[in-house]
Amino acid sequence: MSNRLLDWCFKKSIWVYHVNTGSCNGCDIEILDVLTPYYDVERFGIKLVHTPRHADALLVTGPVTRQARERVLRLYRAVPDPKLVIGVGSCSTGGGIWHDSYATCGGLGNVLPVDIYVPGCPPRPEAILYGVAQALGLVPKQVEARSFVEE
Amino acid sequence: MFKHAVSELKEAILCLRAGQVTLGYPFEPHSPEPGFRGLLILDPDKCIGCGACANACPARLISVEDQDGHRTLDFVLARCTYCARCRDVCPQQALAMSEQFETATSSPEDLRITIKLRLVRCRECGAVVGTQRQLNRVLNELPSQLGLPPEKMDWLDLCLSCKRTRALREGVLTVEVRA
Amino acid sequence: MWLGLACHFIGFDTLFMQAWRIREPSMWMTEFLTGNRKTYGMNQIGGVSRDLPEGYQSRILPVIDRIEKEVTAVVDAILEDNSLKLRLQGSGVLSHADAKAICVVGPTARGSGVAIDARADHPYAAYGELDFEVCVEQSGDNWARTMVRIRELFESIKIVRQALAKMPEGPVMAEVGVIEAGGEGVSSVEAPRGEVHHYALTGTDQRPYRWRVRALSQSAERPGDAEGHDDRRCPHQHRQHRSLLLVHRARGRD
Repeated sequence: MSNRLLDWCFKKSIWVYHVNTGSCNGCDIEILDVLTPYYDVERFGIKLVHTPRHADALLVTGPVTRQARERVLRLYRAVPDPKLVIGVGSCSTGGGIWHDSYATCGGLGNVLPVDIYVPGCPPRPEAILYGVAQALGLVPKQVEARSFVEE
Repeated sequence: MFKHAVSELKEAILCLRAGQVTLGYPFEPHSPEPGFRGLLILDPDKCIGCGACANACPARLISVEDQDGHRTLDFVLARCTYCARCRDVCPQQALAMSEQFETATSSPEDLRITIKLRLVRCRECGAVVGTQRQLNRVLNELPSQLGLPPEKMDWLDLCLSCKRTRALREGVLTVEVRA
Repeated sequence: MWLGLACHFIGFDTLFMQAWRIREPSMWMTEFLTGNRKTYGMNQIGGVSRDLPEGYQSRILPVIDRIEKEVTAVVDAILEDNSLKLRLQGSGVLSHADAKAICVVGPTARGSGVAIDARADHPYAAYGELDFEVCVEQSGDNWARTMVRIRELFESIKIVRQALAKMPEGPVMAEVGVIEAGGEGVSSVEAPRGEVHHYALTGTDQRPYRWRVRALSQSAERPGDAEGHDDRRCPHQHRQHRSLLLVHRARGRD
């Protein structure tokens, strides 16, 4: 019963902690853009917090650099359960252009268990909103792998 | 003190005049401008498997692999930077950037396009010549430019070295090229 | 954007929201012109990859007119704001001599009276044909740097209007030909925070072999001088040398 209550509360208003693990700041600016009047994510109760211990979700940008890897793991452990990990941008989805660089871990999936990826370079604020809504189970996925074979 | 109060009043008026500007998204769609570079889409009927896109992609996410009788082009769109270089170089205009931006997923494997095309191998030595579609395109365009009927173009399924060997063996091919 | 962020960092979120509200139409404009809000993806060797779309003049001018009007109203409102003045005036003072000694660039330098701007000093692109002012303030504190940036905003709007009026017809891409391996190039452009230097060494197959960019986020800081160990061996004339030193070091890392 208390679990169901927690799940219901969780879907209502997520507090996110934003982490930049080496991104170019494009995704970070778009995340801040989601807070601004035109997209206003605060009407859904989502706000940015300044410590992971208050957060429900980690919003991670960047292709986890070597130095950032240890810190990202510590941040993940600091966020209390239940938690969500959302990887924003092409860099965290698949490493972006830095996928085979010696300085990065090649994307967030190699470091943390990720719940949802929001690809884009940078993703539009609407795409980030959609991604967060999808993480909460409110909207369906709209992409799938496509494969063609010429016989 | 007075000036500060006036300044605060001006800021308040600024905010009030702006009013509510929040867009209706996600309850209403907010389409991007035309020309927006969204998710890549491939037209499988137009692609000839030339690999120009693989050469141009900065993220090196397109791989071209020839195996047995097929060429496979694999687009790992998880790391796409939406630069549209592939679309710009494609000779067949098979690639396009759609307007789709709602591409969130729990698995980057959902962002993958694979296309497998039939390969043509050299009839003499078995080396790769190209895909059947590439040869079809050559057959469509070259005869009219060379003034040759297609049946006379029997060197098409030879690889470069075998073509050279044949030209040396049978004398240099002379072709009347229309100006 | 910076105005909003600066206010966000000092806790003035009202202005953060308003500044970013004013900025949003310019993002939509960029999406219309280039296909993406931020990563334009248009720069290529020899030109740009796409032309401006139809009707761009009629869409750009109203947007910048509106931004200019709203920013004027914002600036007018905040100039006498005590909380901003208390935070920004008199804090973070960088004297003219220090600015020259540490070789800061960009608005940080211009706020301390050092009139350097790569657009005016080494004109690139079309800046040689445009008329704009290098905004300089003398007090060297945070307020001066803020005022420099605000004035530059209005200068940028002036530049955009001039560029739109003088836009020539013609191809958007020049014929570049084959790029030989082993060629070197250095360039200086003016980024929002100051000068950025790029060095490139071309390799085979028309790809770069080495590329080094000296972004200037670190050069805008003052090195620690707890025991008076500030590095004064770098006056204004040697600024270029320091950049080139980094360039040569990049080359040496083969």
